[in-house]
Amino acid sequence: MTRPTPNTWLHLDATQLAYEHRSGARSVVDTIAACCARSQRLQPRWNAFLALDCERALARAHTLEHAATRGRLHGVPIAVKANLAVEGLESSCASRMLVGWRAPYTATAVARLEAEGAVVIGTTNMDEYAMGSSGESSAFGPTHNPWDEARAPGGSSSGSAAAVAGHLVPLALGSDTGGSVRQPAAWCGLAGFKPTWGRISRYGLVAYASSLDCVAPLARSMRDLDLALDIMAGPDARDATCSPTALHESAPFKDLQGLVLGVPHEWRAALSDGPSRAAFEACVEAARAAGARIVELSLPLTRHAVSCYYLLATVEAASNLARFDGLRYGVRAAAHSSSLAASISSSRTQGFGAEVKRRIVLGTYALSAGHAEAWHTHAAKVRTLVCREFDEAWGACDALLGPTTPFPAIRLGERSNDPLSLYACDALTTPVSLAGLPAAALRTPLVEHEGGQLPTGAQVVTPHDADRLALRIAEVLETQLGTQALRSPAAEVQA
Amino acid sequence: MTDSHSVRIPDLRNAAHLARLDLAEEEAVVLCGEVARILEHFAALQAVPVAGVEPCYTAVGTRGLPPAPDLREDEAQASLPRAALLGLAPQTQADDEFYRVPKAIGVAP
Amino acid sequence: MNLVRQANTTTWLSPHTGQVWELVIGLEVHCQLATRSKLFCGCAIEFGAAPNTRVCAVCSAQPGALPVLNGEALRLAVRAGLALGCSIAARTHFDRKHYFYCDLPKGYQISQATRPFCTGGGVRLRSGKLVRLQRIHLEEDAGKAIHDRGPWTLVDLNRAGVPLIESVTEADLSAPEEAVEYLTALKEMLQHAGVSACDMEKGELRCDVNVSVRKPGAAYGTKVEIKNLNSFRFVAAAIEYELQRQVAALESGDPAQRLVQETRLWDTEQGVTRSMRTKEGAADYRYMPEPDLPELQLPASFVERERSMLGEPPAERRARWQQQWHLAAKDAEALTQTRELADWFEAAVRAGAPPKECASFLLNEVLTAQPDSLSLLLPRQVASLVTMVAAGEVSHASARSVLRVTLAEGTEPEVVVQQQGLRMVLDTRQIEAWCRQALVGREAIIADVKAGKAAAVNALLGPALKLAAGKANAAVVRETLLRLIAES
Repeated sequence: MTRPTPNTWLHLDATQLAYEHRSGARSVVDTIAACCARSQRLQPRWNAFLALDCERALARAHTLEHAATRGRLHGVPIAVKANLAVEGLESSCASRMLVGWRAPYTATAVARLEAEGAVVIGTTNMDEYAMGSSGESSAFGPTHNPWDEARAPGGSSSGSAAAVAGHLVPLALGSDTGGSVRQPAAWCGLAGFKPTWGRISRYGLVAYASSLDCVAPLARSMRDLDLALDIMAGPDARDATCSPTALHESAPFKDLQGLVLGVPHEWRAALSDGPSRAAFEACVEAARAAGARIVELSLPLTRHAVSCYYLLATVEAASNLARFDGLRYGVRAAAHSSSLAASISSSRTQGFGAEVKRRIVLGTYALSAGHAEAWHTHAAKVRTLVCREFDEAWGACDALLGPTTPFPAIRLGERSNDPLSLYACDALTTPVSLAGLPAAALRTPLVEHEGGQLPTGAQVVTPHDADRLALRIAEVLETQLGTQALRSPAAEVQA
Repeated sequence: MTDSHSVRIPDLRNAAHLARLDLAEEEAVVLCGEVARILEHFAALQAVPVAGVEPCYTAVGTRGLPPAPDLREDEAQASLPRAALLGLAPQTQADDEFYRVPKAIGVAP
Repeated sequence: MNLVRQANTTTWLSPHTGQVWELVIGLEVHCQLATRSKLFCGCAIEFGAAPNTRVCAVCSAQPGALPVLNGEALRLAVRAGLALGCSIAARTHFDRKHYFYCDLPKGYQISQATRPFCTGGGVRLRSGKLVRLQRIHLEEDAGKAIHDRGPWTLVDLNRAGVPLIESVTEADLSAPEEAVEYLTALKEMLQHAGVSACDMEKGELRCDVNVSVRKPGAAYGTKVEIKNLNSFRFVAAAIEYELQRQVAALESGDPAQRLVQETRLWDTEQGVTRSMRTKEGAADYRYMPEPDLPELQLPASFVERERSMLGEPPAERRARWQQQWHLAAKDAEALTQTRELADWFEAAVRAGAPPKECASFLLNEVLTAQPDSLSLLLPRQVASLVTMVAAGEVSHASARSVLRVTLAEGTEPEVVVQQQGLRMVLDTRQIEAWCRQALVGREAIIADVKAGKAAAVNALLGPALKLAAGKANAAVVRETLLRLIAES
């Protein structure tokens, strides 16, 4: 263990930070104060946060400082995506529709972290209602990637990714529905994790696509992700889809001897440029060097995953967003007409951004009379086939290894006029989402891209409930690649 | 049977109406055009043969049903304080009794 | 236009055209399940609670809130299905039904569309006709919107999320009185199964009617849905009204009166149905399976447990009582008003009470004494009292006063009888002695009776009973007096 020095809290991961707080080697109040100050001062630069409540955080820090019980995340500052309910904090989902909404309760996943001593300092920017892959669909301006501020951090958990990559907090919560944590993890050089669907409670996660949404953590170390998973996973009486089935245990391992990793050639083929391909091949090499056997396999339905995902997700999204009518919470349009129907329409039309409206129309159409069978039901049948394809893959390997995104972080504005081209960012993450599988997003080597150095990522996908296995494999790979110590230039940026 | 994957703009405009989106003419034209293009791209999905395949609406998929959690006991729990709920509502005061919403014309569907 | 009901049929004759018409009726009944908490959250159900005080994050549809199924609601729903002879599905799931309204917080109702938890079953009317059920499904109730209190519409979400079962019949009913008979039987079965109190004044039972007319043998006519019927009387009245209206419209041939498939509201004050301004076309509810609730498996053991809770159907109970115990139909009806009363009565009979007398005593004395009599007495106590009266050991009048004491103080009836010395005298010699004494100095009456005016003896009843201090049976006294006069 390194001896703590005042300025290096920035470089510690959550596990280490909690340890130092617990042992008294570091003051919780000092850490939280420094964290809040840094976040406030760098806010204009990256626009990572939508709401920062330093007063609340400091009050909590004071309580923790003298507390008798010291949890596994004692005094660790965390950021929470603005689609997670935190009692008393504003969680606007980056939408004009929900400005000012302070949840009257706290999401279970957040509450469990808080119960272990974590301190929520604020809610982070995101694509509106989690619909986006770059952060550019926020009603409050995009978030900037701390690696290259002209670039997007990825989405929809853009602010959470920037907060961790910018060393504002060591651990943040996002949500992953079609890749919304894994993709920003790749674009921001972070470790990210999507659990098996239905293992971390969704109570308090504002629903986008219920059968796909997962609360998902972002961090700078695999052990932090493991800890967060451990704390958050488990049955919740408030979420009927949060199964009592326990995740499989998995002890850490030094290497990958005896493991078979499958590399779907469709995933490999999705990489669009030379440097990205090289970074991924380095990852495959690292797996071999660590003792794993690599097999090539085929997942032909990969090419339909984006369509299948978007059809199903938008149908559920249109349904989940029906509650936003300006009547019980959120923003009600200024009354120019006094009828209920007109008010509902005005509030929704004015409150939702363009991408959200597009998806609502798409999802409503795909479920409407005369079209549901051809679009929604058909997509749901393809989903069954996608699941079967993965089931068969497990006959040939213990885990799948693939890139997370076809290309590194795009420039802000590069694709914002072309929704389909943004959807393409999710080509590699959506198949996994459709099957509800767990995936650990790990850091692969930096690449030269358009005159600068950018992070890349890969994902380890395992069968249902083998979440910990994915994390173990990812940890070994990062160690082998030497990417576990990757730090963005932002780490040196003084606030 | 209808040609199921040809997308007609009037149907998209109807969808917007069903979703209570009251788009101005220009916006409607642009948005529905974009959605039509997206759907045309997604139409490739139709080529996937699905005869005899059951649809899957949750991520449970072919894993089979997980053990369902125990059904909730029928015990009354505390509700939220009315002020906390109404305080969140537009044009309603925390100390009101009811949510205040614009006057409805006609009755529920 | 006044259609004439043809005797002993379910057809009507139009005097105007000589055309005969038939009614085709289907009923959709919403019944509130007797649970303590709501269907998908733990908020308490309490009729009359202050507005918006039984609401939580889930039933107010706060962002991020999720539904969790109430196990008791599922059990009661299955019980209802069994009581009505339905088949219970092995697997069932919930669906979302989408529409926008201020009393529907999520913008969709969680209901069941494609796989309701039960199908089939039905209710047999007295005529023998079987009214078939299409399905019964579980769904949540909406909140309440108030439109007539000031410039705003006011919304109360206390009721949002209350568990309902919706039962839908096939179009098997043909007359208003059949509809009422069906509803009465349905209500009784659900009450007796413990599924719901079915109190219409509390909105626990609501009925929508689908009605059309047609010429006998013809295809189905245009169907109209009528809502807002909160009593069986209004159901019958609304059907009657629609019959007249629809036939008049069809016979007039007037295109302005052309019938459309629509929803109409019953106007209680005017006694008419009114068209609701319908939007373009039928609503597209865009049903989709509810992703927040796992599919339910209903194993046989689950279903059988509910079957064991059912108890005997009230109609069968009444038939058995009339056959086995010779109860009057009227009394049998009265005693099956509620499951509680019926069970109580049977318990009293099992404790030894003679059935007919027990029925009468329960109905005329116990239930009229005070509203909560049944909760203050035990069946065996009433059995004991009724047995004593039937054996002539206690007079009816005495029994009434014993009852009052037991109700007030809880003392066992036998003890009260003992303490107050209410036991009747059965000793014939003692009765004879009193009669002889009453006859003393009554030669005139004796002569009258001997002359053939038997009724004259009634004048002696009072004095004789007074001598007996009320502890002799009046009929026995009268018989004894007559016998003594005859022997003298």
